[in-house]
Parts: sequence; structure tokens; C-alpha cells
Amino acid sequence: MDKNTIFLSHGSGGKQSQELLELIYNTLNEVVINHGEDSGVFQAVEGKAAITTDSYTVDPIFFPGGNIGKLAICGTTNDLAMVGAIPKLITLSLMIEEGFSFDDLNKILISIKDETKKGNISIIAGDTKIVSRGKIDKIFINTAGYGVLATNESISSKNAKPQDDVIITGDIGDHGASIMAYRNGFESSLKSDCANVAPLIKALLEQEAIIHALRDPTRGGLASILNEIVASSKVNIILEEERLPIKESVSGVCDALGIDPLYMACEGRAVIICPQDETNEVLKILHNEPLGSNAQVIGRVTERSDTPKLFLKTFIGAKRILPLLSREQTPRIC
Amino acid sequence: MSDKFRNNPELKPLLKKIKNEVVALDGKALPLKFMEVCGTHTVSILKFGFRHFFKDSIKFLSGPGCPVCVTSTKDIDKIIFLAQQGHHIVTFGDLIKVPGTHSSLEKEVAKGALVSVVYSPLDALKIAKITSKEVIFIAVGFETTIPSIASLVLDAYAQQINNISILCLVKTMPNVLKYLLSQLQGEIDGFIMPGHVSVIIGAEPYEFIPKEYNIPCTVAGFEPVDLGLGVESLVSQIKNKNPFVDNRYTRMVKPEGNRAAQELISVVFQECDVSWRGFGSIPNSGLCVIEEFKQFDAEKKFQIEVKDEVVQSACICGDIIAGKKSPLDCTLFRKKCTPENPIGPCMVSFEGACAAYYKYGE
Amino acid sequence: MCLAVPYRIISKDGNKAIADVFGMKKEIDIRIIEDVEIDEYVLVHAGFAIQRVNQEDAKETLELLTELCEAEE
Repeated sequence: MDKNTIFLSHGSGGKQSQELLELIYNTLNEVVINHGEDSGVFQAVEGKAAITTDSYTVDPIFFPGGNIGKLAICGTTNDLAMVGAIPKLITLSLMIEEGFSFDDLNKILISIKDETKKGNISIIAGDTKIVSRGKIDKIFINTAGYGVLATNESISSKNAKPQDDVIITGDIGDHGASIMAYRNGFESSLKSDCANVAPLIKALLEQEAIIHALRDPTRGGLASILNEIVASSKVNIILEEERLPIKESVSGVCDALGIDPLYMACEGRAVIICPQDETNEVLKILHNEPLGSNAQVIGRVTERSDTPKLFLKTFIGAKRILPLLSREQTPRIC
Repeated sequence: MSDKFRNNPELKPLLKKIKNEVVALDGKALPLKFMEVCGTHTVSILKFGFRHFFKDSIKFLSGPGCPVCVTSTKDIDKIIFLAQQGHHIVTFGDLIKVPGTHSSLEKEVAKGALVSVVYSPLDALKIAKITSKEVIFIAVGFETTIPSIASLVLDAYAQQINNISILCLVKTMPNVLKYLLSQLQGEIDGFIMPGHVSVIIGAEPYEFIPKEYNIPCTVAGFEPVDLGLGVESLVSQIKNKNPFVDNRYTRMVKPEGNRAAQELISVVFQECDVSWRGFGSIPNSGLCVIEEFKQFDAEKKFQIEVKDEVVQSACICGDIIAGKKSPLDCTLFRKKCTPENPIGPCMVSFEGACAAYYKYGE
Repeated sequence: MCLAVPYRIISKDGNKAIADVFGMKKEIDIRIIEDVEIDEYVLVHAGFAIQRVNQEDAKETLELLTELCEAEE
């Protein structure tokens, strides 16, 4: 057990720190550049670039379909993709609780390496801290991502226009529902959809598809992200319940726990808002990509409004509002 | 099979027919007022769009069937007191944000209180087995939930787990309905009875509603087809001037209910008078733990010291639960009382009338 | 006040059963459902089975929907 355990001394700068760093570099070797320097140096490209930062504190750290490491890389690449940037570089800061196991750290690092390699990106800078037991929960990861803009058009939450179509690149709620199911003792084959969607967006931009807005529906799910878009663009959007792609197992666990799949996080999906006459082209490009095979139109931007709202047309043809929830959903009995 | 009760192509035509029938009713002021007793019905009616569909023809009023909404501030203060004493509080997610006089469980967690949210009361026993602290399960709910809470007590007794108890805040339906009707005669055109409470108690306890008050009743389920059939039944009863208790949820509800569940409940609990937010004390409207199991009754096990509640004069949750007023009548609604800063449980609870009105834009 | 959904029984062991809801499996308590059978559907609330689902009545309810739909106004 001792050999497998990370102690405070692994973060104190001495011999044990070297051992920890060796493990990290050995596992991440092929995706790390600028080994051993205080800062990562790179050749900046001409034109616009994008930078994002995020921290990952997911619980449980290992979940069906992924772990905190995979989530950290995909979350970062996806944030860059949402402004039309091609991800190039990432920084990786690990905060590890005293007592964490080397085995678990290794599994997380392998996932980080795999996703970084798949995404054609490199880790340019990193940091490791070991924190006293109880001061953090197992492991937290912080990243910064750098990407190069692949379009001169402004893709922004402020740009949704009346009559635009609203497209989702795949099934809704898989990540949030799989975590809820796991936490509440449900066994299933339901997995997180955690994935890097940058290739999907790259394909769209390379073929010069016209896109007005792009968002990934992570925390708070589809309904929350669309609420942000209606507020930024000052437009109403109406979704059609019949057109929402939701897996039966996601519906099932949501029904059982009293939670709404429209507010469940997706970690490998993008919401695309584009002019109606671009829709066929956008769908064609998405359907050609592995992650976009189930992409579909789920709604439409209707009119401008000073009190913008997100609506849902239900199965019975009635309209209701999808509000911004003030809190995270917990399982209900009512 | 389940999907046929949710997304059924025959439902829309039926609902259109119902709307036409309502409009054609003789001598009835519109909109009709139907009260759904159960909070889960409130959510389903909103979620599936029934409220919007029947906008001018049927108004749906939320009744007292939201266990969070009807828990008194004093009872919430008892929960906070126990959390502050350092006990491990185990609760359904519904209760986490409900404000007491000064605090809420959520606020106590931020201050270091031990609180676990569970899906099933029986999970509390699993927690008790791996801690030396006293585990206190906050027992809120109606008859649907009470059999599982009774099982928790019986299992703790059988397995001799001594570091567990329940704070018994459960309530029962029939007598609160009697109380409600004594206040509301003539103001409600029909009742949608709680489908899953009825699974336990049956449809027979509601017989007094058409008999003594001449008001139509239907026991309905929660899927769109079930709600549609429930509304159809009420409109039909109004049209035929023939109110009775119609069971439209026969696949789950028997006239006598579930006898095994009723027996299980009676092994652990007995009827007693309990306090309902907005109504005060109603005789025999709740349950308390019988003497034989008092070691599992947190009120007997611990000295719980809370002050009597100071009623916030401007909060009209009680009148809203009773169907007398709407959130729009409340001076605090949307101004001082919002989902981010809820004053009363009707705003905190996911299915509370005020939260629903606020969120769904009424 | 009562969120409950039908689950299908996969296996039993005394008071407990493993049951399935759309591919998600969970342990539930079945003590108040007498002689529950494998593949039978039970209504589950907060991890506790509170009634068996009567499939005949389910069919009749759907037939009622059809009948009301087709009836003259």
C-alpha cells in the first residue's frame, strides 16, 4: 500500500517529487513538449487565437465512459471549438489529495494522454501539487487551452437570428444521467458521452458552413445553454419535444429519479445555430463524422424579444417555458 | 407499454374533444377549476403542457399534496436543530433547500453539517452501519412513501441497529381533504386524486367527496394519457351532473388499495394530529411512531428545542396550498420571494405552486 | 407527491429483487408484493415496490382511450 500511495513528500520538491514527476512524464511522454522548463515556449501564429481555462472536480472521478482526466482534455478542446478555434496546446495542473493512489493517477494520466494524442494537441506546461488530506477531494484538475481561429466569421451566443435552425450533434443527457444513475446505485450500460467535438466543428469550418452560434451543453444541460443564448441574442427559441434525441435508458433513469434530461450535462455534444438554408449542408457534414451521426434539428429561433424565453412544444402540441433552473437537480420522491 | 401512455397519437384528438365539450357545457362559468391534490400531478400537468393546452377552459389549482410545501417552519427548524447537534441527517433531495426560520439544510452543509441525500429510506440503514454517529432519517411524505419508512424502522429493529432514528413528519390524505373541503365548498369543479397515494389507500376513502359535496373526483395516473383520461372523466361527470369517484388508474389502483402496505404501516405507526403549513393542526392527519418502536423516534430520543414558529405575515403559502389564492396574489412573489431566495416552501419545492408559476411564466 | 415508475423483475432474493427500468438495473424492496414473479412489472417508489402492474387493466385503459377518441362528440 505504501508504494502505491501518494504522500505530501511527493510534492515537497525532493527525491520523491522527482519520482512522481517521472511517472507523469513517462506516461505523458509523447504528448508533452518543453519538458522540465518553468514555462512552455511556442511559436505564435498570425491571426486570431483563443484561450480558455477550466477546472475539473467531477465526482465520481471514474465514471462509466470516462474519468476526470478524459473530461479535462475534452472539456478544454470543446470550449475552444465553441468559438471556432482548432485546439493546439493545453496546460495541465494537477492538485492531488494526500493518500491518493498511484494506480488511480496512472489510469487518469493514460486517459489524458489518449485524448491529447487523439486530439492532435500537446501539453505545453504543467504543475503538480499534493494537498493535505481533506483539503480537496481526491484530485482536481485545472487546464488552460490554446487554439487558433479557423474562421473570420464571428461565432457567438449573441448571434442567433430569427428563423435560424437549432441543431444538436447527438443524444441528450448521457453524461449527467450516467453520473446520476451511478450515484444512485443503478447498474447499466449507459455511459457518459464525454468526447472531443473539435473535429466536428473543424469539418464544418473547413467546408465553410455558416454558423451563427455554437455552445456545448455541459453543466445545466441543453436547456441551460439555450437559455443563455436566448438571453444573449435577445430572441425566443422553441424546441420540439418529438424531435429531441434522448436514449430510452436516459429517459428511464430520469423518470425514476424525477430529473429532467433537458437539464442533464452532455460532455460530447454541440448545439449549432445556423441559418435555415445552411441546415442541410451542416447535417450532411455532421452525419459524415463519427460523433455527428445522430445530429438533428430540434427547434428554431423564432422572433426577437426584449423578454426572451426558451419554449418547448410538447407531445400534445402545447407550449411551455423551459426556465433557467436556479439549482442542480437532485433526485426527488415527488 | 409505457410509451403508449406517454406519446400516444390518440391523445391529442381526445384532448381537443374535451376542450370542445368544456366550451359547450351548459350553465358553467369558465374556466372550470380542477384541483390536483398531488404535487407530482402539478409537475406532470406543467411538464406535458396541459396547463397551456386548456388555458381558457380549465384552470388547474395545486392542492396540499406537496410534502415539502406543507411541512411547517417549526418542523424544518427541528431538522436544522438536529443537524447542528452533529447528527448525520439523511433526507430526500426535496428538502435540502427548504428555509426554516433562520437557516436551511443546504446552509448548514456549507457550515459543516453532515447531510446525505438518498433515493430510498432504506439507504439510511446502510449509512448507519458504517458510521458511529446517530443517523436521523427525515421522514416526509404521504401514504406512498410511508411503507418504505416503516420498513426502515422494522429492519433497524430486526438487525439491532441502534444508531438510527426517524424524525416523523409524514402526513396522510383523507382528513386533510375533509378539512380542505370544509373550507372550499363550491369553489372547485373537480378533483384529480393522487394516483400513487391511492395505490396504497385505494379509491374508497374519497367517496365522501361526491356524496357530501357533490364534486366529481377521478383517480388519475401521471402519464399524458392518464392525465387526459382523468380530465375527460371530470368533464364527463360535470356534463352528466353525476359526480362519483372514478378510477382511471386501474392498472395500479384497486378500490381497497394495497392491504399489505396498510398493514405494514399499522405495525409501526398510529394516527395522530399534525401541523400543516397554512392549515395549522388537523386531527388525525398524520402518523407517529408507536410506543414499541420509540427508540427509533428522534423526537423521543432527543431533546429537540425549537421556538414556536413566527408566521411571516406576508407569506400566503397556506392559502395557495388550499387553492384559495394564487401566487400572483402574493405581495412577495417575484419581488422578495424567488427561487434563488425562497421565503416559503411553495417557492422552494420543485412542484410548489409558486416555483411553478415563476418558472413556467404564468 | 409520489414519483413512481414501473420496473421489470429480473431476479429475487427474499425481500429484495433486482429490477430493470429501460436497461438500468437496481435493487428494490419487494416485501409487500406477494409472490412476485420474474418478468412481472411492479410500480416502484423510492426503491420500494408498492404494487404490481396489472397488464389487463393497462390494455383496457388504452382501449378506453381509443373508444373515447372515436366516440361522437
